[in-house]
Amino acid sequence: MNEDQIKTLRAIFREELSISEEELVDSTAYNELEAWDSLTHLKIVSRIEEAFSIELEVDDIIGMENFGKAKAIVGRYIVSPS
Amino acid sequence: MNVLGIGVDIVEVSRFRGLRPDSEVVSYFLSDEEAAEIFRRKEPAPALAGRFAAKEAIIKAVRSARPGCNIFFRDIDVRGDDQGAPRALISSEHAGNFQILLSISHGQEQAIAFAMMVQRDDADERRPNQDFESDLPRGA
Repeated sequence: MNEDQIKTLRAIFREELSISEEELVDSTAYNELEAWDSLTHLKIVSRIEEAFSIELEVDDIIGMENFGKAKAIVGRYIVSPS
Repeated sequence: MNVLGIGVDIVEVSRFRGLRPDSEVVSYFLSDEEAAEIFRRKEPAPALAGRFAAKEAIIKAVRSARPGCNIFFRDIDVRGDDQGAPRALISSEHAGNFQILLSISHGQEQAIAFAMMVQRDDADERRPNQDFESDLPRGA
């Protein structure tokens, strides 16, 4: 993922989880924050798919257990412009 | 009765207010048929919350019995029977020799659901249609 794509992904997570730039780290995890529950997870997935024009597979939706994993998973779907 | 797994979930109804039937989030957890039924209601949010809680409770029950199972919202279809009691159908990919007993309740502010996964007795004809073909097996 390039810098802009990571910035977009971070914005989605920060907005949906209502947390600051500093609070969002790779280890920020599902169910660790009260705001990151299953409904919020679906909203995050929905926004990711829209922002990057991708369709995530179920295993990957379930696998996005923390921000670091989400970044890695989304990165597999998108091709950075050269 | 051989209990294989249980699950419970509670959600705030307010979080479902304003969701539109064609929204991406709704398409993740409701089949087209379920969405059509719920959005016919004057106030769909409590039913949306109840349906979401029900599916989440079922996912927890199934995953507690089958760790690593990737059952997801669209693998589950919740419909009312002749008496209005909720019945859960599981997609053929995840169905097995079990049945889901389900109870859903909601007020103005919260919805709660409890699911129990039990071994199915072959002689039990109460829920003959335990599985269905998911109409949107995302990524399958």
